[in-house]
Amino acid sequence: MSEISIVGVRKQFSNGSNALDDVNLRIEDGQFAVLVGPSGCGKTTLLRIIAGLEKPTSGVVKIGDQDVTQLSPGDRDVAMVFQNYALYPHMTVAENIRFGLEVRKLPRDEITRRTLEAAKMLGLSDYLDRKPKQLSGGQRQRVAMGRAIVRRPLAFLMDEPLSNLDAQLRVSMRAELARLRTQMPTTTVYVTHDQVEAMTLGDQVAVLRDGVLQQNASPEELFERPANVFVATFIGSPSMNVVQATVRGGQVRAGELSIQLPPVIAARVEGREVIMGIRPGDLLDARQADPALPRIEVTCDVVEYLGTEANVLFSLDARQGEGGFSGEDEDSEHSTGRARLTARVGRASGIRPGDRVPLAVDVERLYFFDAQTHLTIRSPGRPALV
Amino acid sequence: MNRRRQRWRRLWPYGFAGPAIVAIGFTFLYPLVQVIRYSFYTGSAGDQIYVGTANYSFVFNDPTFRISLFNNLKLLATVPVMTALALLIALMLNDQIRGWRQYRAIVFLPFILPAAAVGITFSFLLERNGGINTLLSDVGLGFLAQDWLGSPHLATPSIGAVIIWQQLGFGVVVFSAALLGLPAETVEAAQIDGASWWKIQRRIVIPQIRGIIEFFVTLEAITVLSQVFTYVYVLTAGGPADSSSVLEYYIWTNGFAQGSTGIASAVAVLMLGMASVLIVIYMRLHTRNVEM
Ligand SMILES: Nc1ncnc2c1ncn2[C@@H]1O[C@H](COP(=O)(O)OP(=O)(O)OP(=O)(O)O)[C@@H](O)[C@H]1O
Ligand SMILES: [Mg+2]
Repeated sequence: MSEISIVGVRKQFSNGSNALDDVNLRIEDGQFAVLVGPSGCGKTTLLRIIAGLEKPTSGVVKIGDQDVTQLSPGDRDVAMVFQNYALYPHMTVAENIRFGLEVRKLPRDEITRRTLEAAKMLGLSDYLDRKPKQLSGGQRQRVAMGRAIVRRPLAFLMDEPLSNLDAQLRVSMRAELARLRTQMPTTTVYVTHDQVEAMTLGDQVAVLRDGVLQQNASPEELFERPANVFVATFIGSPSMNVVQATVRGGQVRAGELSIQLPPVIAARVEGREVIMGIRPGDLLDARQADPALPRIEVTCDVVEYLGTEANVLFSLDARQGEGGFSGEDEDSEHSTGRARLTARVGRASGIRPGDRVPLAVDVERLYFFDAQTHLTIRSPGRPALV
Repeated sequence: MNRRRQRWRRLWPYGFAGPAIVAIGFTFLYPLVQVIRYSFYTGSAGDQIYVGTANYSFVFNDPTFRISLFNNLKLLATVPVMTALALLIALMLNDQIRGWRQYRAIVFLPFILPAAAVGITFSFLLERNGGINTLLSDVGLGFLAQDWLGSPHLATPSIGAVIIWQQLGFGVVVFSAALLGLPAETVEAAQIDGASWWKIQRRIVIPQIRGIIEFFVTLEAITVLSQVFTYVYVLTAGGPADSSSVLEYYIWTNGFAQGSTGIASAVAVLMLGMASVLIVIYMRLHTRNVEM
C-alpha cells in the first residue's frame, strides 16, 4: 500500500514567502494525481516536500502508513523526474539508470536485468553507452523516466517532465506515459502547467493557487463542477467567461446584457449578487442554435481560427468577474471597464472582425458563483453547492 | 593589381599582430634561447667558453643537485595532500552555501599573503624555541617537540607543510567556484536515489569537477617544482648542510652566489623539461575528457 497523505502542510521560506498554506491532499494507492496551477503557486514546493528535498514548516507527509515527514529523501523510496531531467552528465545512459539500484546494493545480475528491461520498455536499448549530452531532448527525458521506473519505488514524483519538449514530442511522450501507466500502476504525483496533460493523464487533479488547494477532483468533476471561479476559469480552454451580474425577477443582468433564466435555475440565485460564468462552447452561433434559447448580439473584435473551430472574441459593457484566473493581462481588463468574452463557433460561421454576431446562450449550462466568496452556487447538473 | 591587393589583405592582419609577436619574442623566447645557449658555456658574460654538455654532467654528478632534485620530488607529495584537503573543505563548504563567503575569505587569506611574509612567520613558529614547540609543551605534548627546521629529516617536510598551508586556500576557492557552477538537481536526484553524502560526493559531484581538479594538480605540481624558492630561502636557506635545498635554490647558489651561469642554466633547462612533461600529461588528460 502506498497512498500518499499530505496533512496540513505549510511552507514558509526563510525569506518570508508563503509557498504553501494548509494543504491537505490524499492520493490513493496506484492513483495518478496531477498538480496544476499558475506559475509560482507552489506545485514544485509541494512535490519537493513529498520527496523530502524540502521540509514543511508544519504539517505531515505520509507514504503508506508511515509518517515520512522527518525522513531523508533516500529513505522515502520515491523516485523523482526533474523538469530539466538532472541526468548525471558524466555517466552513460546505462550507468544513469543503474545508479539508484547500485546505491541500494541490489545483486549485480538483478541490476543488469532491471536496467535492460527498463531500457527496452523505453526504447533506449540502442543508446545505453551514450552520455546524456549525446542524446536528443526526448531521449534524455526517457532516461530520466528510466532512472525512476527501474527503482520500482512506492511512488513517482514528476515535475513538469514534458515541458522541455517540443509540442509534437510532448504529445507522443504523453501517450507513452499513459501506456507506461497501464504497465506500472504506481502511485504518481505529476506537476504540470499543461491542462491537456492534467485532464488526459490524471485520475485526480488538484488545483493550487497561491499555495492554497482550491479543489481536488476527477478531471470531469473539475470541468463540470468547479468549486469556485478560479478553478472554473483555470480549467478549460479557452477559459470560461465570467461577468459580475445581479439576478432580479428571474432575469440575470450584467451591464447591457439581460437573460431570462428558467425558473429552476433562477430559484437558487434570485435576488443575489453573483458572478455568472459560461464556457465559450456554450455560447452558440444563433443561426444554428435552438430558437428557444435566449439570444444576445455582440460585436466581434477578433477571430482566432483554429481549423475545426474558431474563437470569436468580443467585449461587453459589463464588469469582468472577479477571482478568476486571468493569466497575464489582469490590469488591462479593469482599465477598459468592459468584460472580455469568447465564443467558440464552427469554422463555417464566416464571422469577421467588426461583424455583429447573434449568439444563443445555453442557459442550462450557466454557472453562478457568489460575488463575495467566489464559491460556486450552481453548476450545471448539480443544482446547489452553496 | 588585384592579386597584389589580395596579398596585401592577407598580410594586413600580421601587421597588427607584429608588435605583440615581437614583444613576446623578446620577453619570452629570447631569454629561453639564451638560457639554453648558456647551458653549453662556462664563464661569465663577455668571457664565455663552449663546453658542450659538461655543465650537465657536472650537475648529474653533484650530490647537492641530487639532493635538491629529490627534495623537489618529495615536495610533489604535498600536491595530493593539499588537493584532497582543499577538495574536502570545498565540498563541506558547498553544503553550507549560506555565508560561505566569510569562510572563503578566511581560507583564501594565506594565499594572498606574500610567500616571504609567510616564510618568516613560520620560521619563527617552527624554531626550536618557536611557537609550535611551546604550544606542544604547554598542552603536555612536549615529547613531540622537534627541531623542525634544523633537522635534516624534518626540514623539507616542514617546508612542505608551510606550502600546503599557503596553497590550500587557493584550492578551496578554485574548487568552490567549480562546485557552485554545478546544477543542484544532480545532487538532489542522487539523494532521492538513496546515495549517502560521501557516495554523492564521490560518484556525482567530484566526477563533474574532474577537469578543474586535474588543472589544479598540474598547476600545483609545477608550482612545487619551480616556485618554492622563497620558502626554502626564508625558512632554511637550504640547510642544514644543503639537506633541504631544491632545484631553484641550487640554481641560485650556483648562478648568483658562485657566478656559474652555465651550471645554473643547465638546471633551468632541466626544470623547464620537467614542467613541459607535466603540461603534456595535463593536455592529454584534458583532451581525453573533452572527447568523453
Ligand atoms: N527556495 C526558495 N526560497 C524562497 N522562495 C521560494 C523558494 N522556492 C520557491 N519559492 C517561492 O515559493 C513560491 C512557489 O514556488 P514553486 O517553485 O513551488 O512554484 P511552482 O508552482 O512550481 O511554479 P512554476 O509553475 O513556475 O514552476 C513562489 O512564490 C516562489 O517564489
Ligand atoms: Mg515548478
